[in-house]
Amino acid sequence: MMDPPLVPPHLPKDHPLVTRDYSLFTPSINAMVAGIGQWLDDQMDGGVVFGPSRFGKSSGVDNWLGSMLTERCGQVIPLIIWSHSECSSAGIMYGSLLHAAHYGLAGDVRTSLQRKHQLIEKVVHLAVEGGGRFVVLVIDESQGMTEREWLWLVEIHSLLEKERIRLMVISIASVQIFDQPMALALTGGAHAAARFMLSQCRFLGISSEEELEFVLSGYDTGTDWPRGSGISFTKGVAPLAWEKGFRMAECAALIWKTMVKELPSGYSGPMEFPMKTISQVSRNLLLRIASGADPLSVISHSSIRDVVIYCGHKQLMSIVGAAAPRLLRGKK
Amino acid sequence: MLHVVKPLTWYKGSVLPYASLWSTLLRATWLNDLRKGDIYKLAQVEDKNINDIEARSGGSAEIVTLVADVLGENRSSFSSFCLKSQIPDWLYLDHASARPRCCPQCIRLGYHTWLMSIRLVVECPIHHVELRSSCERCGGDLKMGLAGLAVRSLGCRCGSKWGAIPYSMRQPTLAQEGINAWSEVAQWVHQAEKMHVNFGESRPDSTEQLALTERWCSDLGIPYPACFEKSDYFWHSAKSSIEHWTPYTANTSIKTKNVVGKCYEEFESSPQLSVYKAMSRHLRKQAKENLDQRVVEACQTKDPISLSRDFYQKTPVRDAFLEMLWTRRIETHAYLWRWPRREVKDDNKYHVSIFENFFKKKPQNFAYTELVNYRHDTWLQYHYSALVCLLAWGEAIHQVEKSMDENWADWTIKNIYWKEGRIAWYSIEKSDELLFVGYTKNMKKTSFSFDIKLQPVASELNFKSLYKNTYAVEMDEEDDIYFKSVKAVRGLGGFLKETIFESFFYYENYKIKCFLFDRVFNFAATTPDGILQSWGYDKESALEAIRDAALIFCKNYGCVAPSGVRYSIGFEPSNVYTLNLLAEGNFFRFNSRLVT
Repeated sequence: MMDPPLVPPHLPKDHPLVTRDYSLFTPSINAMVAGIGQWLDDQMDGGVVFGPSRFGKSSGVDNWLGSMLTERCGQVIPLIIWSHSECSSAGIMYGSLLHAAHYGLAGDVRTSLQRKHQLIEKVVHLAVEGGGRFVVLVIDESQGMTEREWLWLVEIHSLLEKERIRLMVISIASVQIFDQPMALALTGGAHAAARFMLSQCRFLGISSEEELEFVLSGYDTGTDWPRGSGISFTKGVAPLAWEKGFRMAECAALIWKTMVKELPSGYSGPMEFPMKTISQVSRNLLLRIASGADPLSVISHSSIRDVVIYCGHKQLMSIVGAAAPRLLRGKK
Repeated sequence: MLHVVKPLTWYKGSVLPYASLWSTLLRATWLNDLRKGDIYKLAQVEDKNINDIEARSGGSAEIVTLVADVLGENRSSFSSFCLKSQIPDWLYLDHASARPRCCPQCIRLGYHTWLMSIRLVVECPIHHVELRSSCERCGGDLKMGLAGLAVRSLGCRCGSKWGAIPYSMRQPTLAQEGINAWSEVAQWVHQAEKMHVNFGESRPDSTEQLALTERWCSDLGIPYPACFEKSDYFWHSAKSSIEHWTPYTANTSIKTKNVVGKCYEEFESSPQLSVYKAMSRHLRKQAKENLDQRVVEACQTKDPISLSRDFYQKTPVRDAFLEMLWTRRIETHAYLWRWPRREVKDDNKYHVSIFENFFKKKPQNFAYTELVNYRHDTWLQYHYSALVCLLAWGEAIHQVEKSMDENWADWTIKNIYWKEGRIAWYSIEKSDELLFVGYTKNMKKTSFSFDIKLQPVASELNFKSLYKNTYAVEMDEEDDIYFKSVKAVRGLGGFLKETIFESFFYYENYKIKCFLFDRVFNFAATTPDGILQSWGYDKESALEAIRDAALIFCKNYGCVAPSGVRYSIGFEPSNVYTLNLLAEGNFFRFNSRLVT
């Protein structure tokens, strides 16, 4: 007999839980924002946020960084979030940056020089609109940045300095970036490293049962849909279970134990788990309960174990374990 | 509703007061490296055939809205002068430069306003440098082309760039003195929007128009902006001076309901009434018999406007009037020369076709605001005619005096463009009245009225009599030919000081008053209405000559006397004399009357 679909038919197709268009707030995100906030306070030229893949860095940057920095600083922080893609020329990179800044003519044909002018003016505009003299450029997946790309960025940075605008470059990278400052320094890109990579901040995974409980409580209290309704995801998709007192946060202990238990043998990395696994497991559980399954059977040990294994937990943690020496080196 | 996908780099609220759309687009082009059609693309306008010229010079409010939407500005941020066409057309004739002007320093600071085109502003009120319409380096025309709403070139073809200051291109500022100055200019232009003006060939040249501006602003109660150059600056390079321009003013109520009647009542005391009279006389002479009745009707319905309207449109009629003015002056055998080239033809009816055409169309050489209605139209026509008369008056005086000085009668009439560059008039609608000021370049400080002032040399009694009767001449009633001289000063020039004698002669039973003027070599005799004039080597021969003149006159003009109409020649009532020719049967009776 075929398994029923995970997403029950009665759920609205545009529910964030269905579309996976949501981001749970984690202590790691809080720590990252605090770190970047500190750099802002210090008016640094840049810094590196690094962590293993799938730990939720990009999600944190895309969904939380802007609003949290605004809240922290009490003003809108001009922010350009650029997901790095390989650029074969300076013009393409400037165009890509302009696109990230939601510039209307980013896709139009221009020479490299003209695009540079457009970019400078756009950044100056963002800075002035933000009421200050700085703009934060967040480069996601910056581990892929080539030396040439760093040099083009240094040029933009210098030109903006002449306009008395500080471009603060935050590199969000998977762990291998950590090797890069030295590598850049050795290959002649020392000024890029010296500008943008002097400060580092490690992006942690979920490192304790309490943290996991906090994250999962987001389904119970920190979310709402329809927006502004005050109905949390758990209450909204599984109202009967909610009435009976079911809360996602209660699953935290069991999930944590299962994840620890399901670590690959000989795992020597830090006891941190990626958000990717956690969100996938918790979504799976919640949708099954929403389908009408008995909450008690869904959150049973065996059921959770099946889901954790199904989500590729072991494989992912093997990769994290492999990067462990670098991660630990960067641990403050 | 336009839907803008992604914004451009633009600093909201940075459109400066009175900034032209062109300068806004100049900045947008600089900031974004705009290309042709970019703005249309961003605004998702598919009609690529939108005329770009409209954006620079035309009155396309849609373009302004489109640009405002794309830049994320409020439509209200753009001034009412952001387009060249928003400055009234008539200003571009003389008062504003059709070629764009700008201050080189303001351009560098990202500012330009079409108000800079007003030629009365010679220097930038902020930087005090001359406003230019050409490149500083090569002298070529300032190009302000737009291609697809992007500024075509950020500099001159010679390679000279605008030299933009980035900071100003982003967020330009306008000094308070500039805001104040341009606000005044804007107010002035707003007033100009409500004005009616002459833009026919008869208007003065540009320099004279500029020079006259301070004067008419003062006369019409329009504030003259401080950043405008004073009139002296323009008179310096003008062909004439302010003394050459004879002013003329009039006003009427806009709110009067009984429009036509009220309007005409005001004219009754106007010297222009004589135009009507002159014209009716002329038409009678020019037209066939059956047209006489029309003239009569015109007289009775008191419609001088239509006649005066015809007056300036028809050269022969004008010439006739000019001659009439001439014949008011002393000239030997003047009566023989009245309408010397008159040829009575059937198509002379054409001259009075005004009655049919009166309501049909406005003349093409006046600039009107939309508010002008039929009544104001005719009112303006009327006063324009008055200015033409004033000019003709000066012309006539000038030519006659020249003739007299040279003792040679120059009767040639310059038909071609005799009014060209000599009549300026400006009218504005104020709250409840229409004001009119006009100036004619007749090179004379003469008033239009036939005003002769005499200076008595005799007793106080004579003095009183002088002011009672404008021609103050002591005479002995018992002796018909008795002369006593007084010194006279004529206001019209020509006879600065001369001796006047009064006498009478009789034609049949009628007593005709004559005046004799003591000239350098001979005597000139004239009747008060000026129709009959003659010369003589002494007083007696002068009188004899005028007597002969009267006889010839009566023979020539006294034989037709239709329907007992009273034809009146002369100027009244503010003028001095009238001579009525009363038709009684087949005879004319001269009836001279003094008007005090």
